[in-house]
Amino acid sequence: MRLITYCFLLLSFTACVKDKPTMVPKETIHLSVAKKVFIINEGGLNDNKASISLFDPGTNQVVENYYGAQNNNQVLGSIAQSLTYFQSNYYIVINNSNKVVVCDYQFKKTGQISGLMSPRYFLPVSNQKAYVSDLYANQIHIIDLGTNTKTGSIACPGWTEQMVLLYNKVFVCNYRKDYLYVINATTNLISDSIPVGKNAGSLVIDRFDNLWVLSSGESTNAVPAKLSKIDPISHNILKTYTFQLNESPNSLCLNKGKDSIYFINKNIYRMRVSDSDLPTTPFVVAGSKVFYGLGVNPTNYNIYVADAVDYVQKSNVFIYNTSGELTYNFKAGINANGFYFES
Amino acid sequence: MNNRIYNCLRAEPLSPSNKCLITFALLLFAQISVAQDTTKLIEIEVTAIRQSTSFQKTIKIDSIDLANQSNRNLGELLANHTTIFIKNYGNGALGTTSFRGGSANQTAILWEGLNIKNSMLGQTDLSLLPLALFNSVQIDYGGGSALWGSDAMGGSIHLSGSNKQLKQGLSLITQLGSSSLNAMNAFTGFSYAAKKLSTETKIYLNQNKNQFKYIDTNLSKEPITIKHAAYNNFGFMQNVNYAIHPNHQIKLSLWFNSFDRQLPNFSQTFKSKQYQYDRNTKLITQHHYFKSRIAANTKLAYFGDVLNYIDSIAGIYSYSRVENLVIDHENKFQINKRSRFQSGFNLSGSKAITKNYEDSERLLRMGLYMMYSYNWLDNLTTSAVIRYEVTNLTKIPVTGNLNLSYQLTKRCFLKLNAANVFRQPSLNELFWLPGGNRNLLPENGNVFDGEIRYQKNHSNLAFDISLAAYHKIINNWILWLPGPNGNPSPKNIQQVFSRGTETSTKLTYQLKSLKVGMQFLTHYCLSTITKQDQDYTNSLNKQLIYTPRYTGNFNLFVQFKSASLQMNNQYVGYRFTSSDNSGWLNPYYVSSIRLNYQFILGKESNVNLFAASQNLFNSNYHIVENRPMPLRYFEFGLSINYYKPKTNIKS
Repeated sequence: MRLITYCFLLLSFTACVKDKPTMVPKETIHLSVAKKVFIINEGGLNDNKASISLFDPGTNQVVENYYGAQNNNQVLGSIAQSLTYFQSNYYIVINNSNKVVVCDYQFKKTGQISGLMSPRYFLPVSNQKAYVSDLYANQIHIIDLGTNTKTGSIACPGWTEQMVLLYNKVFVCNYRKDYLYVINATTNLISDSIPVGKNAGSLVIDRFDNLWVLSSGESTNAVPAKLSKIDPISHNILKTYTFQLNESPNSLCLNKGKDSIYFINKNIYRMRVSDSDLPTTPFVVAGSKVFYGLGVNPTNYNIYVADAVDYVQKSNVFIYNTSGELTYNFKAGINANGFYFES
Repeated sequence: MNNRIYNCLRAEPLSPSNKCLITFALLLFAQISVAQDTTKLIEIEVTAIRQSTSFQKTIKIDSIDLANQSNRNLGELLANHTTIFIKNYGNGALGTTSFRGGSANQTAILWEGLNIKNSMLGQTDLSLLPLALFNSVQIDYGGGSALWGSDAMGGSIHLSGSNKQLKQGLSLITQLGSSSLNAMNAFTGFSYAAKKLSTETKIYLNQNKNQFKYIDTNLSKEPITIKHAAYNNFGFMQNVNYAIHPNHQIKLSLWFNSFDRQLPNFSQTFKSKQYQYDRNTKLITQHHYFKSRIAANTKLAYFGDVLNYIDSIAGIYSYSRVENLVIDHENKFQINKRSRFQSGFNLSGSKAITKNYEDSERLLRMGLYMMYSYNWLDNLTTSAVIRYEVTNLTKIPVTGNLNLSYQLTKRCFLKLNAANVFRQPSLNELFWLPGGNRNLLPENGNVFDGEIRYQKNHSNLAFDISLAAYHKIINNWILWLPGPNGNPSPKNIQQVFSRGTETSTKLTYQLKSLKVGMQFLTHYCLSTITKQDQDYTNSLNKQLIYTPRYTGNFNLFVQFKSASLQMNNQYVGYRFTSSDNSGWLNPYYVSSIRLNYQFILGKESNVNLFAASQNLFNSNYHIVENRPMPLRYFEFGLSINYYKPKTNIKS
């Protein structure tokens, strides 16, 4: 009995693993003069762990929470969606915190755009004005860049997503509609809509000034994904590439020369803008990796791919060269979804 | 044992607007007059056939603890009285278990012996289970899939709403309570029992504006009042037992629950428009047969769960309904003095209706189990259980248990259990669009656990200490991973190894009118990912998220004459929030205190007054990241217990 009692008391108050986690000491990082890469890390829903990582290709070093490091460990918010650089300012769209955080060229916070519902992407349309797309607001927000305030809106029902500006026209993807919307950047009025299919989320402009729009389709309703090539002047669809029903491509990107496009379709695919068919052979095979974000460095053609792993740990970022060979990988924040390349 | 009456009717403080409570009371008093005409009936007793208490660590929650927390839900009870970690998203919000390092889906929660999980979600929200309904809460630790089917991997929780201690006669309980969160709750229960017939009716209403304060340290050090977190819970349970013959009994149990809640979004910019409405209907009819060496029980059950989630800002109007029909049979045959044979089968069909499935999907299951126990010596019993289960969707492995129960000395007991366990993937994991994966395999694994216990009564002092340990490996663990277009999809991705120890110390001292008791519980749990089918993952050999390594409870009870004081203290250690263990939440310690005073009105009738403080030391804590829990708040109320023995009833 005594033995049992001793064992019991011993096990009541002792255990094998120290409970308090060990803080990893921060390394001193010396940045090179190389053009930096910013990684947008969503964080988890409601966990206030949105962050921006900085990768220095010159030294292969990473600053994990660059915004926090430059702003006295301030919290950025919940779900960093996108990052845009314009006129020496960074605009970080924080989706679930309903705001756009404005930073100077050193990433120090200088302002905040509030009053937004669920912002997604930020597009400057002039030196004084920007548009912000929104998940739930059923409108595009109009922002005064001088005061960083919302000054108006453009009614646009649905989940508006990525936008581009070309010939004073803003082309807006809309996940909830079958159309790409065209807005006159001067009058702020919708002037046209182009049928591109279900779940259009990303778009780019190639070297010939053609628009490429990627719609992910809706496999539940047997609607296939489509890649549409569009004349931005006439708004005519020049060519449509149709995917298999079970495919759901996303994250359309362009290379430096704007003559090749890349997208995620479980694996990474690459095709020339002159190709007549969709590629059938992956450029990079995902294997057990889960590709969540894609970017192509405009300075050196390198392809950056983010792997969200399991949503609840630091993401992996893989760098591939133009031959599809892995050249480097590093860790970024939770749920890295995209990149901004300094140019 | 006599079939005795229970009665519980608790109604709670009604604000003037809540006139429905008065209606409850009137209805119940009306029932009393009807019940008084019941004639003399035969005596009946029924005990459950499937019992794992003889070979698994088991805790039965004390009836005083149940009565004292009748205005709370099952999750809150388990947090206070066990070391099971309850992942609670906020007061009145979703609450799930992490049992011995398992996931929320790996605990079987059974009512009257049948699993009551929502088959679409594969788990039970503990906030939907008001304690006022239950007369018995029993927790079986360790693997028990062979007996209880899918989910009983870490353990199982057994709920019973019928009182086996009913006294013949009439009884009535009315409880009214209120709290500083702008809440009121009412419970009323009525029961009548005679020799042949017993009936229990329970009705509850819990309205809570839930205006609790918390501190968001990112914003300010000043407390903030939460917005859009109110909830309204209403329901009833009816149990009827009738002995149609000295060896036959039929029983009907009906339970309806309605739970409407607002879901806060913690945004400083705009108000949440998220709501969740649950409607749960459960009906079980049973037939018991018992004669000398044979006992049999057959159940026919219907469980219907409706979950309606609305987010008008996001344009989400999600309606889902799942219906389950269950036929369950079990029988026991005492072969001779030393050996016993049990067997049973369970047939169930689940049908889910939601626009997020391609069609109305069905899960059909058939499980068959057999158990043989042999008592080698008076102090040594072994048993073996085997279960074969088939479904129309997933191939289920054969599972089983091997058990040993040994009385080492007069006061010292040893239980050992080795088990294969499994979990059938939920309907959402299989069919949800987008992302559902029809090729999922069941989670399965092996569990070894044991308990050594020492009990002693010495003069006025009684003590009971227990030490348990477990070792569990689960394969094909299902995780939702990023899928096409960012949509998550479940995969059998990893193996998890859980091991740990639990201790329990209980001391009770009684001297005349003074009774003092204390309970000290500890749990140490390592639950780590030992295999992962992903490259470049950093979660290998890391502790599972939201699985604390250390938990502990210290509860104190003092009673002097008609006054009593109860204090609960809970400590929960670090919880990792990221699977690579790079993010975590700090430990928390919360206490609650409750004072009761009882006025005796008659032989077995009384009025109880109580006042309580939850989170006594005003701890600002989160169980789940960014889901704040209330700072200190107060509760108070009364209950009236009335009992009229059968002999006083006109017949």
